[in-house]
Amino acid sequence: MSAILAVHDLTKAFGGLMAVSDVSFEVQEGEIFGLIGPNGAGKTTLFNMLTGLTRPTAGTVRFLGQDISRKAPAAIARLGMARTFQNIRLFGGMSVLDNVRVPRHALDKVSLWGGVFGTARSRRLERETLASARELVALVGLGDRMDAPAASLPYGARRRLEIARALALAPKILLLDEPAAGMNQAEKEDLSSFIRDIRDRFGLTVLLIEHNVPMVMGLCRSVAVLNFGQLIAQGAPEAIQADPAVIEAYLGVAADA
Amino acid sequence: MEDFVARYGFLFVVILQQALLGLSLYFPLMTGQLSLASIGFYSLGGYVAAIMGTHPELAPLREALGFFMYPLEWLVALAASMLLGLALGYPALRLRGIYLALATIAFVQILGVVVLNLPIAGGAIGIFGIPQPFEDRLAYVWFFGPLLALTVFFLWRLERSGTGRLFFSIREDELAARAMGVNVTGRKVQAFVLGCALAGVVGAMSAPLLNTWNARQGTFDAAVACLAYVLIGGARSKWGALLGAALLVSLPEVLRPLKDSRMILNGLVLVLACVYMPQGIAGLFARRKS
Repeated sequence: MSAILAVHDLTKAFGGLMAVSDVSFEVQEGEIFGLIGPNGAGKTTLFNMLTGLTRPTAGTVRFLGQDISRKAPAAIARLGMARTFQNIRLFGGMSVLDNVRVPRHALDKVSLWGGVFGTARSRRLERETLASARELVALVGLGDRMDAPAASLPYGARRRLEIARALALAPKILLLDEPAAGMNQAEKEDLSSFIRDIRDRFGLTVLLIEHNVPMVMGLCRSVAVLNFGQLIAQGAPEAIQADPAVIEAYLGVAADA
Repeated sequence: MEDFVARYGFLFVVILQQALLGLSLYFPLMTGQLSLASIGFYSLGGYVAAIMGTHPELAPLREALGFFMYPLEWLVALAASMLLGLALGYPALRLRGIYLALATIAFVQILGVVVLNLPIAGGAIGIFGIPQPFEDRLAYVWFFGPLLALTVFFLWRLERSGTGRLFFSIREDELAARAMGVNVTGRKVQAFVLGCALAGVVGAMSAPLLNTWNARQGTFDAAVACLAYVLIGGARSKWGALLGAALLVSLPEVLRPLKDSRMILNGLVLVLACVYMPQGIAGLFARRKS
């Protein structure tokens, strides 16, 4: 195993506020890595820096051996890093199928003129994109809603569609920002086994932000804990659970709930 | 029937022409960008056609080509608009929302001042005596009609292509589009340049129709009129620009029997449409369908 993602001294300051401060960790290829921490700990800011949406104040991110900390989000995505959003950001007015087609079109860098005039290359790409999008939509259980506008789906289906859209990028690493938010216990268990399934099926590495501690402990091989922008613990789930700093910052509260 | 054609035939030509200008706004709107630059490119295209149609040094070329001089003017206007569109698009499309609208309006104003001071554009008087291919103004339907059909067909194909889906993804959620690998700036510029190219060709076709061309063709008022077509018709559908232009161009004519009070009614229709049809006329149809 080797590190697919290496974060080194990553820092983001918003004015005087250190949202993320000197955070370093490595994610090994093929693992499911959990990132936990109380609200406002800087988890989403960290995700935004990894995916290029927020520019780090300092530090580096190495993905597949190259430094991506100054790259544009679209370039990072095409390298093989896909994500979902905490507050679900689908292309609401577009159909379920079209949502999943967009990343493929972006990867293919489809030609405007080819599409309008229907060249052989663009027709072949359209066929392949349609077939793979149908497969992904069916995989997340939305096969009967292909043509529905994404915004018309119920909450859980929108979450699953967002994962299908991320998978359409054929990513090497998948970043999930609180995928279980708003789900009940049974749905959370389904989601856990679904995440394991897609990891195995697509040979993914998964980086997961989650509030639900039992879910993270059951799913992840390694866990990093953020509190007030700082990494306070890192290691195997069992070790994390026993760490006094973590219990004080986070687990103690969650265990009562 | 002949009476009707004599009275409203020219109106129909103007509706086609204005609908094309409305559609030129729809291209950037596909990526969610409101640009008012179209009227500047319309003016530019008109100047290209006017200069090519009247400049003494081009007389041998005009004689050799005959009618084919007009398609050549369209092509030159198309190329000039695309080049200027590219040069304007890359910096301007870094702006968003109302700032892009303001920047494109500024471009229209600057272009207006430039042509007023360019000797080749004829200064304040402009260029007159532009040769006309048809004696009857109605015959310009043969210019604007096919161009409109071609544009609608082009848009129909584009909306069903991968590029169309990428355009729409930017309109729906620009940040998510970036995170999904979409080259947002490049696609915005593509859409913008298509709109510029269309406006330029419409201008080149309009110069012979109007016979004269001057800086008054590219004013703020004209830009706002185009904006109104899309607003009233609906900004999320290509039919919106068509419907909006048809309604707004014909309304003052249809209301002519009301004499002086017609502009009051015209204004009232605009205000009511904005209040009660925020998605435009095309939005009403879309709602019924779903």
